[in-house]
Amino acid sequence: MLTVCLRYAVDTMEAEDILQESFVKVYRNLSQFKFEGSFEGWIRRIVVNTALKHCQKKKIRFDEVKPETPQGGSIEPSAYNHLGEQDLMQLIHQLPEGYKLVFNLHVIEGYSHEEIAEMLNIKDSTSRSQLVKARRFLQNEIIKLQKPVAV
Amino acid sequence: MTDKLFDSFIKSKLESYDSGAPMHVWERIKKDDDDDPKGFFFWMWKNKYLLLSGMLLVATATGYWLKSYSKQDSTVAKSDSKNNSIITNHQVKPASPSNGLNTSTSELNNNTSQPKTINQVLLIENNTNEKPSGFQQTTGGSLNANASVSTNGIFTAERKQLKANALKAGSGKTKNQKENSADPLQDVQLPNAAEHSLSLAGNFAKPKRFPLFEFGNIALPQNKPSCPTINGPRRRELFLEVYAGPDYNVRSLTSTVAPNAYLSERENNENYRTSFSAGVRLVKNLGEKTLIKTGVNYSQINERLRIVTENSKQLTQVITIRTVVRSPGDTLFVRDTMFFEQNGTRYRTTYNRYRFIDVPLIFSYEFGNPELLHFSVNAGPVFNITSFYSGEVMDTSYKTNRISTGSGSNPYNWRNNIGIGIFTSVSMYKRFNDRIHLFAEPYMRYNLNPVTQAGSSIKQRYFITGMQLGIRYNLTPPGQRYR
Repeated sequence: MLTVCLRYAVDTMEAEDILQESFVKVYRNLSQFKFEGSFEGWIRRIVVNTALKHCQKKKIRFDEVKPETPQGGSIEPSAYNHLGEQDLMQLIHQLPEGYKLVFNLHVIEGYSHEEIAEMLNIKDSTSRSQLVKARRFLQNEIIKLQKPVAV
Repeated sequence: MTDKLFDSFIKSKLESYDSGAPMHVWERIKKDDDDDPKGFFFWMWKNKYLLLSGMLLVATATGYWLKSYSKQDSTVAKSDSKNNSIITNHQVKPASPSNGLNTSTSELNNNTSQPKTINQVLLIENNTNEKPSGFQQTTGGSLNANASVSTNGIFTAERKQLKANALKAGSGKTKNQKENSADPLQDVQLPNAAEHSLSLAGNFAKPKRFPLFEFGNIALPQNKPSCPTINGPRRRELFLEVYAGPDYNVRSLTSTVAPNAYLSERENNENYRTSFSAGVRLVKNLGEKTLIKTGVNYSQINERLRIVTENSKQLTQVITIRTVVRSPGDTLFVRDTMFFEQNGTRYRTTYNRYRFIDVPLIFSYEFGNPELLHFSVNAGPVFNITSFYSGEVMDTSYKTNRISTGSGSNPYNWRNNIGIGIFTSVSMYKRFNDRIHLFAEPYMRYNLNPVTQAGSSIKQRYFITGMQLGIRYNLTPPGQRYR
């Protein structure tokens, strides 16, 4: 769960705060868990919601960041082999706040654009465009990483 | 690679990725859950508005009920006095024609134009018929004077009027009567006003009993008129109140400069222990129901600061000295020095104390029945005389600093005077005996100034709520409370 928090937080301290708050909520609302789904999924949902609340406090602007033009074309599949989880986490951290939120919610948590729009109080189209841009941003960063790997 | 593949690649990599939570995170979670104030005071604080409105509602309802009761009681008394007069007209028959009582009544009817006065006379007539003590049935004039003193003694003007009437009535007396009493008022044995008012009250209907206020064998006091009559209702009472009770504090920690992480760290590490306040105050009535209270109040806020330092290293030096006695007889001291390095988590707990000595100036409005249960609503400023603190506080680099009281450039020299606070409370008094009342007073106090220095970037301010339990002792003896 700390990893989930780390994906949304700016730094480890904030992630720990989110985790702490989430688990306190879990303890206090344990009686509300109805054994209808997985317990982990329920906790994960609480953690994500708490993280979103934290992010909303910061008043995130879903700005458009001009993506850098991909250098060197497509990503070679071998580049992915060298990418570890830690590297991916670092890359996600480099994403602008709005991109990061939408990317995490859609790609990793599996929320639809409609759900994300409702959760973040934005339009569906904004969510879609943020996702596309986040993806492009990440791909560019992976290409950048690919070069030293190739050498 | 398509977008879908890219997404599924990221998802597969990160969905089940576990970076592992360090141990201190779990400790923080456990601590946060443990420190959750689930006590009575937390509940009180959480429902403060509900409680406050409930208290006001109960107080208002009780006040209204008691007021309506006293009105009802006086109505009963009035109607009863009317009944008495009617009965008197029909039942009291002159024992002999020379009885001055009836004569005086008829004379009075001629002399006075106010039927109210007649009723009063008839009421006295009933009194005299039943219990003639304190009255002498002499002339009509004297009887009239008696009536005026006993029933309407509060109103001096009416008394004078009646005295004049009495004089008029006296002028119509027989010669024999005139000889007996030259001045009609000279013959009157004026009863003690208080005594007489009590004897009058005895004639009234018996008070209804309050089932709510019947406490075992405690006898309900009689429905005494609450103010004596001769010189007007001037309440002059002085009370001494001694109280103490537990407090619950809510701290507000604000800063425009310090990061939120620092403030939340302090909120997590510093938590409150039961605080208390105690004091003595003098209470003087300003009017019939308004009072002023002032005295000295001491309050103490207790706080626990717990700092967890992970990866703390402790170096221990152990020196062992051995004595070796060799065969020739000389003694050799052998000194071994060892160092132990211990790695671990260090827990450090400090108890902080914030102490305040204040002088409250509270204005109070009382209502209810002072003989049974009465209430007061209080509000006013609280002037801080001095404040002093002890303990430690975390700075923005998460190191501890000793807090002290005073002035100077050190940011941990906090204010020795926090200025003015605002105090509000509702008191409930229960009569214990004639001089002692027990009271319970839930109160709230808001300090306008923080405890930290004016120039400090962090403002630490307290809102205190609590329950004061105490004793009120009436310093004024019973006979001197209305002068």
